[in-house]
Amino acid sequence: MKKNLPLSPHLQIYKPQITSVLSIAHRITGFSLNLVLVLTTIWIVSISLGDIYYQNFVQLFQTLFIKFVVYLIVLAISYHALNGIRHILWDLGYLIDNNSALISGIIIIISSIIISILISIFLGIF
Amino acid sequence: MKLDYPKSWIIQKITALLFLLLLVFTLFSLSKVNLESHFEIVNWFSNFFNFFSFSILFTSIVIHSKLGLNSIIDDYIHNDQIKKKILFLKNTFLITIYSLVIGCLLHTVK
Repeated sequence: MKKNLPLSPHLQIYKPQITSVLSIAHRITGFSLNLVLVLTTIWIVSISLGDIYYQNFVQLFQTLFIKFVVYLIVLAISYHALNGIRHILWDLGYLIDNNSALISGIIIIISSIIISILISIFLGIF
Repeated sequence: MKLDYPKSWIIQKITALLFLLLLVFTLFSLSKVNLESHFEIVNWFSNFFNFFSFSILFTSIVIHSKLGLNSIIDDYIHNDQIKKKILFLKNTFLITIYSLVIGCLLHTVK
């Protein structure tokens, strides 16, 4: 029975809408954020190996490219967290109508960009 | 492969909220530390509260990630053999990372 079920979701069938695009982006950011687990592991391992290894790790984060990658990670975390809260609100029965879903989607895009810039300034990435 | 969806949903939301609160706390706490100084970082982790909260944060991230990846794998991979192999690789990846982080943290603060 299960083998006859269609693949989900039907990305190739539906016309892109803000709700579906943001939902797909939620999954893509969630999957990509596993990179943060790897980076956190390298950070913790370098701390435990001692000062010399730790300084090499710190040096890596001085390059412009890595700073940009870190900014993208902060943006992905901000977006994933805000959209996750939106998903919880949906599950609880709020913001379900078309207009609310559209407006909340736009708010999430703008807020995640603003929050990621503020966090990056706070962390000294910029 | 039978997954307990309601249970996974509840655990995923709880870990997400825990993860978010602890992440904000950790960012604020680490903002007072010079991240380029090995001594200051080790000192920060040597504080039991910081060590404990970071361990809970990392645990909640790993659990949240495990459940999120499970649902992606369940939605997009329909061949049971391939699904089993990918789930095994994913679990090995997460267990390795989790063991490394907790082991290294304990080594750092001992």
